[in-house]
Amino acid sequence: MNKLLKQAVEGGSLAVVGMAKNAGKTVTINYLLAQAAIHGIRTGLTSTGLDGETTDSLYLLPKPEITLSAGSLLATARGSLSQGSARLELLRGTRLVNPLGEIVIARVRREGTVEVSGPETCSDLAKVISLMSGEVDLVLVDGALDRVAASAPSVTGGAVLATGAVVAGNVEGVVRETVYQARLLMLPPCRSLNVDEKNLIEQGGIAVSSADGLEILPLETAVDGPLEILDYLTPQCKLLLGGAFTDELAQLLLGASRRLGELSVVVRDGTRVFVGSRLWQQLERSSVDVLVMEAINLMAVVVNPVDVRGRQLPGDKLISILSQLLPGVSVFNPLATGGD
Amino acid sequence: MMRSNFVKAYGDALNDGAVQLSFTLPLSPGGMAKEAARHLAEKMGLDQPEVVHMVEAGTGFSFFIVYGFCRHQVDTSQLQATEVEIQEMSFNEINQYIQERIGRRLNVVAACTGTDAHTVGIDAIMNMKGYKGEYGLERYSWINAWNMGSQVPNTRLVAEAKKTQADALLVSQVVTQRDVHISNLSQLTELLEAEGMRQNVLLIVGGPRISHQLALELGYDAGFGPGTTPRQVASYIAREIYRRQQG
Ligand code: B12
Repeated sequence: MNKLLKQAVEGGSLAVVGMAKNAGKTVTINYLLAQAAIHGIRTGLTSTGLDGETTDSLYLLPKPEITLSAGSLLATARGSLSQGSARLELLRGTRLVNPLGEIVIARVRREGTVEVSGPETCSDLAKVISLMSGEVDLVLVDGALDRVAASAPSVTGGAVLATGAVVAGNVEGVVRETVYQARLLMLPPCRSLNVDEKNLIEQGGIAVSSADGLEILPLETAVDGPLEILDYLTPQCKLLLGGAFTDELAQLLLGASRRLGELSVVVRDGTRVFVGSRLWQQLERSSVDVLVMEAINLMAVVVNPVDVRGRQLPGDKLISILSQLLPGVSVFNPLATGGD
Repeated sequence: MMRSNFVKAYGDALNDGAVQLSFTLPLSPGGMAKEAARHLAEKMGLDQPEVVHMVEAGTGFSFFIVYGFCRHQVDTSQLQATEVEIQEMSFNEINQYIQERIGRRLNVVAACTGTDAHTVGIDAIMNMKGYKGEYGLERYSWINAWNMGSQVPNTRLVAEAKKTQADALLVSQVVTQRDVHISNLSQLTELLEAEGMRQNVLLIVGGPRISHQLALELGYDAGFGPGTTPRQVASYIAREIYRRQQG
């Protein structure tokens, strides 16, 4: 069994998220499903929201179809059940709905194609995964567009990031954007969080932790970079952030760090960071340290060197540069190799 | 299995496949330009293309209208309708519905987000004076409506949603060049997830190039296209929030 599949099974569930539409998420799902079938791994499949239709709603291009082998589980909206060629047995409802109807769990009786339209929100997705995980070895989640929220450790046990020629016009551009996104997802964990601090972050609170203890900020959100935050920051403090870390807040902290020196920000996981790539570079060079409560297990970056219009970038070059810049992450093209 | 129902374009007679096409070429009007237009239509697969109109559209450009016959047909039994399903109510019925079934005023925050500066669409839905003879959401006594205007960053919209404890967010996107709307709209979904708010708001997007299907793919609850009226939006919000409340 290859290393990726082994790691994925250990995680229990795996989100395939993309840098953009048509980055190759569905191809990757098919690759993983095929590998799992060879090795007798029982799989379940769902998605973040609507996906997997035969044409894509942006470019009206045919999309790759997903094929499930007999015995696999599928969690999809009731309305999608009749859309593929696979013969399905309805097992049970979940009482969770998306705009196409109730999400139901079905078992594949005869191999064929399926349409997957899973839960819209991460909280529903986590529930659907747990409803399937007792009966399968691995639950795969097909991401939508460029949304990465499904890779949060509170939702899935691991992630694969799909990238490729659709992301930028040249190798340098694809590498820059991909490395930036991968590094956000792989942000290192803060090892010194105590139980109170963890609870605060989980509950979406905002606080400053310093030698003087934990001070909870009377703010509902820091998403728009409220200036009041500055009043609470002290040298060497940790800003605990239960929500999103945005450009506005990053600007504020960069300013403060010039005055205060070292400080760190702790977010729940890498999906909470919304700092643009340019500002992120400034942060990396500054005395502001960004850490996470729960690290995402980014197991692989998959590369599709061809874009929607058939334009091709040198795949081997992309893969070798990305492998160098992302040590520990396996980088491969699911259409070209078996991965390792 | 539903029975097949094939349709073709209609011109003078059923199933003749007649279509009309218009486009501009970077050529001055003349015999060569006309021939180029005809050839282009032929390459698009139209049978017997005929250039029926050619006019200068700025120096060195020509605008064409071409007639032709399209061979293709579609089977409507194989298609999924991708419109928001709305049981429309009248202005008074909507207010009464909210009052009786939900029992509190609904908080609705609207904005045209990102770099997009088009306000007319979202104003049509929100403004007191309304659109197409219908009052906008601001006029509803059982809706508290905030219209934040245009070029609103997603972060400000999220902060406002939190402050007002919004039940529904209305996002307008008109400019779709280079797919700017896609990354902007999906960023909002992700921000709401990161803030732990996504499951608590009804997330709605609208605009002339927005379809319900695209909205769903972006993680929104509903998408509204051209010609949307305030009543359709208000009916949808009221019924959907009531449905969710029922669990
Ligand atoms: C007026 C206008 C402007 C005005 C806007 C003034 C203002 N305060 O809004 C000005 C002159 C500023 C402008 C600027 C630009 N514009 Co302009 N503009 C238009 C125009 C002529 C009309 C748009 C309009 O008001 N429609 C009327 C409203 C009522 O319709 P609507 O927006 O579709 O809204 C309805 C539905 O879509 C829906 N709806 C819309 N939003 C929402 C939201 C929700 C939640 C819901 C439920 C429903 C909903 O309900 C509404 C009522 O039915 C259109 C062309 C046209 N004829 O459509 C171009 C157009 C939209 N503009 C365009 C462009 C490119 C621009 C510029 C980029 C031009 C430039 N190169 O600088 C700039 C952009 C500036 C920016 N940063 O955004 C393009 C967009 C192309 C594209 N798809 O990307 C268009 C289509 C013109 C064209 N053919 O090229 N523009």
